[in-house]
Parts: sequence; C-alpha cells; structure tokens
Amino acid sequence: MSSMSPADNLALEKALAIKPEEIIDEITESGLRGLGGAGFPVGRKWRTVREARSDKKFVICNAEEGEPGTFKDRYLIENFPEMVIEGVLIAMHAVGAKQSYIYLRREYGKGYESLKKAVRGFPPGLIKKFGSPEVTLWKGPGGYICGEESALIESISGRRAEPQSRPPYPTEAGLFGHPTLINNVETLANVPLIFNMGAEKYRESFKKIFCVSGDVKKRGIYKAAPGVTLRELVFNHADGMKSAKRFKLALVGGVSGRVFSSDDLDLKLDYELFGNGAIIVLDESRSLRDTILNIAEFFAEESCGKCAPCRQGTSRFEAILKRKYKNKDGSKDMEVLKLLSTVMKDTSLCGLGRTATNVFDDIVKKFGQEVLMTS
Amino acid sequence: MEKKETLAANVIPELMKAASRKGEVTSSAIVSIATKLSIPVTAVEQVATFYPSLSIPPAKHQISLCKSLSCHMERSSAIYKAIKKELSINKAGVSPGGKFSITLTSCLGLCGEGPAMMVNDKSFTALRPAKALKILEALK
Repeated sequence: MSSMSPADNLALEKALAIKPEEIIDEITESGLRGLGGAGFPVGRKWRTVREARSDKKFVICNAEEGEPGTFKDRYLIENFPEMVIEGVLIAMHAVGAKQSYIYLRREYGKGYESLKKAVRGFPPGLIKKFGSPEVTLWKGPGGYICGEESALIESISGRRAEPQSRPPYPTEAGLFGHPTLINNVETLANVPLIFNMGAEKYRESFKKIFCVSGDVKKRGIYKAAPGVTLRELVFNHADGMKSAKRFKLALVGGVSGRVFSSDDLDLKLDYELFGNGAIIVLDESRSLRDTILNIAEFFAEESCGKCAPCRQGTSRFEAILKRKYKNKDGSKDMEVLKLLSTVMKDTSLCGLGRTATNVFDDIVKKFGQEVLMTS
Repeated sequence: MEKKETLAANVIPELMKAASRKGEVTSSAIVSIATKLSIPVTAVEQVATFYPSLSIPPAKHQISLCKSLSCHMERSSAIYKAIKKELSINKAGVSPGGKFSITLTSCLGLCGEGPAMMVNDKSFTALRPAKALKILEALK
C-alpha cells in the first residue's frame, strides 16, 4: 500500500493548477466509480453537483462503515488519512463547495484522531490557495442506517437518521437543502491517485480493496483489480481455508450482499458483483440457519422503523427463524419467509429493507430451502 | 431559516457530549439541550431515543462486544457469556457498583481480527473468553 501515500501534496497542486471542470473531466476519464457499493460513475455525480445552481454546496465523506464484513474505510482513515482529506479538498474545489463534513461513526475514535492530525498537517499556504475550505470531522452516534446517504444527511441536520424518498436527490437538494456531493471514503481516497499518476495510467492500474473475513487462513485487506475471481481472493490472497473443511459459500458485499457457492468461484468480480468489497467466507461445517438468523437479527435491530415493510418485515423474519417451525419440516414457515422477502424487496423505502433478505433468497435458490428447514 | 436549522444540527453533538459525561442521556440533559438550542423538548427526545449508542447503560467501563456475522462465527457469544458470569452482570447489563456495562453491538469494523470488543474508546481483537476476562480484570 505504500504506493498509495501522497507525494508531498502533489495531487493537490496538480488539481489546483487546472479548472474545476477539467478536474471533473479527469475524474470521468479515470473511470472511477463509487466504491461504497453502488458503483455510480464519480465524474457524473461531481458534474451534477458542479452544475447545480446554488450559492452554497456541501461535500460529505461517508465514513459510516457499518456493513458487517467491511473494514476498509477504517483501514484507510487510520493509515492514509491525508489521502482521504486530499480527496475531500479536490472534490470541494471541483464542485464549488466551501464546507464539507467527514461523517465518522462513533467507534472510529482512532481514525478521528488520525484525520484530525492530517488536517493540521497540510501546509496552510496550500489550503489558502484552495480558498480556505472548511472540513468538519463529524463523529456521529452511529448505526447501520446512517450510511444511507439521505439518512446521513438527516443525522447531520440533527434529526433521526431516517431515509427520505427521492427525488430530490442529495446532488440537487441535500444538506440544509443545498446541493451535496456524498462519496465513500475509499472513493475519495482514490482521487489523489488519479492526479498523481494521470487518469490513463490510473485506470490501467486501479485496484479495489477487498475485506476478507470468516473461515480463511489469513483474514484481512487485499487489493485486486476488478475482474479478480473469488477463487483468487480466497485461495491465493487469503491463503485458502482455515482448516481442512471445504469452502461452502461466501457472502460478497457483506450480509446485504450476494451468496457465491463453489460453482461461482471463477466468476469475475466486477463493479456489478463486488459490492463494497466485503467477503465473508463460510466452510461446510457452518449452519446456514444460524447464519440466516444472525443476519435477520442484525436487520431487525438496524431497521430505522420509518416504513412498514422493513420495520415489520425484518422483525417478523427474525421472529420466525428464532422460534420452532410451525410444521415439522418448516415448509409452511418457508413460504411465509419467501413472501415476506418479496414484499420487503418491492416496497421498502430504502436499500436496507430491499437488501435485508438477499442472502436468504440466494441460499434458498442455490442450496434449496431444505438447508434452512432443520436447525 | 437556515441559521435555525444549523443551530438544531447541534442536537446530536450535544447529546453525545451529555452521553459521554453521564454514560447515558438523562431527561434533565434533554431539557437543557432543548433550551440551549431553542427547539422543542420532543425534538431532542426523539433524536435521543433513536440512536442506540446514546442509551448505553452508564458505567465506568462500557463494553461493546460485536455480535455481527464475522465475530459471531468466531464465537463472540461464548465471550459474552463468560463476561456476564465473571462480572456478575445484571439484567440491565451492568455489574455491581456500576463498574462495567456490557452491550452486544453491531459490526465494529474489525471483522478481519474478530471477535472484537471496545471498552470505552479502545478496541480489543482476537478475543477468547480467557483473554477478554484478563483485559477486563486489568481495568478493575
């Protein structure tokens, strides 16, 4: 990762030397996409905020990393805080924002300190050249839902972190009603690299951070180009399975992500598949019912309760999995769970309710509902 | 309009300050925050009750033990049981004399080194029941 360290704020100097529009062209040219899970083209998002008419604009760095299995943003903030700040400053300059927030979860106290130190470390003269932008480190009370961008805005505004229906999108009417750019930590940390090495070279050498946990020998952070396979990540990077037990499945994108079985080990992990880059590996000894129950408990607790399908759906899901099944083989309960899952997917207000049953659906599809019927 | 909005935005930092002083947000703290920011008491209260981290049981040492999938797979529940037993944690999640409180929490972002817990602001990883108890013993 040493190649990621900023070379004496070179990226900032380079970005300052060109017009904001040219910065956005460079970002577009680099092919950078949102790395928090959505994969939205970053250049397009920046341009929308740049072109929005308003006397005030904001940039928010989303550091509310809450997806189980994800620990890349913590790693970046603690080890490369300067890059995150540089990314924020360049984004502010590009979209025309004078104020920014880094929304940190409560538990990232160590990251807060390193960011604070990094902010102080920038040469004042250089910051002045940027028009003395205001960067606020905002330590939030935390919660999975706070990572949802409209909920995050609510939280900074001093309200309950409840997602809002869109449109308007935050890029049009975000924080305090002003156009707001929200990018994930990893996305912004990549921005200085684009200016350090140039868009074209960057595009060729881009590497995504994967977080591997679960039943592998070496859990941790691994960098790989998009298109890497799960087999390479699990068996080369993470050195294979922890014990003699065989690979059963991996949750790619965390507990709201998708299930990869051994048939999927050679699929190329591209933006559409890798989600936020979290990979939780389960060996053949793991109880899938226990796994599904743990995930159901998580979503029941983290649902903000604003919309009924998610509030009711997540808690019913948990309750059914927790108790004894109604008929002997559990098939009746399975029908209810499948129906609930469909309703939650179709009608929930935000991504939480819409993805809470992804792993359940995939396990039923790939392994058959029988694996969940016995405990 | 906007000035009022940005003032109201201070409600969460204020609540977090109150929580770090007392360990939880008391009702008198809610009233004084509302007065200070000139917003209704209910506006503060509905925010205070939304975020679980603002209602952690007060104690000298607040333990948050991760129960999300990666830590769960590393048997974080065994650590929870051991701590509860060893520290005689009551139903409210507090040890006698209010020295320790324990909360099972969602992902702490330490999945690569789990099972993990935080005690106040410090994180501890690769726990086993005996190791966790030793860490807490040193704080007694």
